[in-house]
Amino acid sequence: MATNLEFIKSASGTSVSSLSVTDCFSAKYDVYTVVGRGDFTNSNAFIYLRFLDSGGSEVSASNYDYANLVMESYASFGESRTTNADHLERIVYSHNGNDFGFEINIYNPYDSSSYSFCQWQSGGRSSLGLVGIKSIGVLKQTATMSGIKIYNPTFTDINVSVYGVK
Amino acid sequence: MAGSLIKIDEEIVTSAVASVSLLGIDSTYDVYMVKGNNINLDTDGSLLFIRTAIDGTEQTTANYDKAAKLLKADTTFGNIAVVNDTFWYLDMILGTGTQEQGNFVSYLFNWNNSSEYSFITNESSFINSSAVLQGYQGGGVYTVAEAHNSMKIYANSGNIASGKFTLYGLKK
Repeated sequence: MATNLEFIKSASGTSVSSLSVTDCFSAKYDVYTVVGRGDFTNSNAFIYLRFLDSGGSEVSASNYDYANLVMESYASFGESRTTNADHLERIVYSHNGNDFGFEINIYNPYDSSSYSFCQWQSGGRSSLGLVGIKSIGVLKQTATMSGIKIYNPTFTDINVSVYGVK
Repeated sequence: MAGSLIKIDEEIVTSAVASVSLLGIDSTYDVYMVKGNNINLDTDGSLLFIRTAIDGTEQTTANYDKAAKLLKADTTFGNIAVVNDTFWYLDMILGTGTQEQGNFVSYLFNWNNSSEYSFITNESSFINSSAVLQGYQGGGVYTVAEAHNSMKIYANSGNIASGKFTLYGLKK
């Protein structure tokens, strides 16, 4: 039986400061699921995300809005929010040597007449304990996006897979 | 995960309709997923609702409980906690301005099981009628043990102007 969650591609790296998944968006899908895992060397750091435009260049304009619900096992839950940022922040919050994982749903990235929306959830471990994050984000550009870039800490290893929801 | 999501029904709205019905929930799967993207409503300030349905006929009794966090990019988040309501939310206050559109993914549990309540989880990302990014993250339960084979998605005021709505089953 044909199925409707289709693996598109994956990317991985070791000892890298960023990881890009290029040319993963197309007209074939309008909703995508991105999953990733890994660990990094930095102390208590966030992972950031930018979209890649149709030419593969990262979109660094201040057109990103996001909001995060940060759930720490050792403290009260927190909120954060930013408009007109140059990236999406708090994809993950984790700590040197601690594993993390995330799932991102991305809507309409290839549609040049629509903003690119997303929501994500992640789990990591800071130096104090578990940190779960649930977030929303948007890139306020009506343009075709071709991929994503994950960056900020230095990743010991990272693996990201992109699926299309047909 | 790959190879386990089966499309059941889909409706692509290109001209205004009062509601969308997605059909085909049965005992084949225990868990279903419904997604919507690029959703625009034709009345400024309207909300997108969902109800369980039997053969396309929506259940309107006051048995919908819901609890959720409303994430906002401009101010303090909100809490939604309601018992015995007559609907669940998918997206909240949508507008008719540029890019004031909704997108969501929900999972449905036990909907076709006549001896269990029907549960739903909600995750959405949308720009509201004030051009602010918001997201509805939570869940709900319909507190009647009965089998549902469909759903109705509709705006609380006006029509759904456009959007794509798809129902999937998750292989057991």
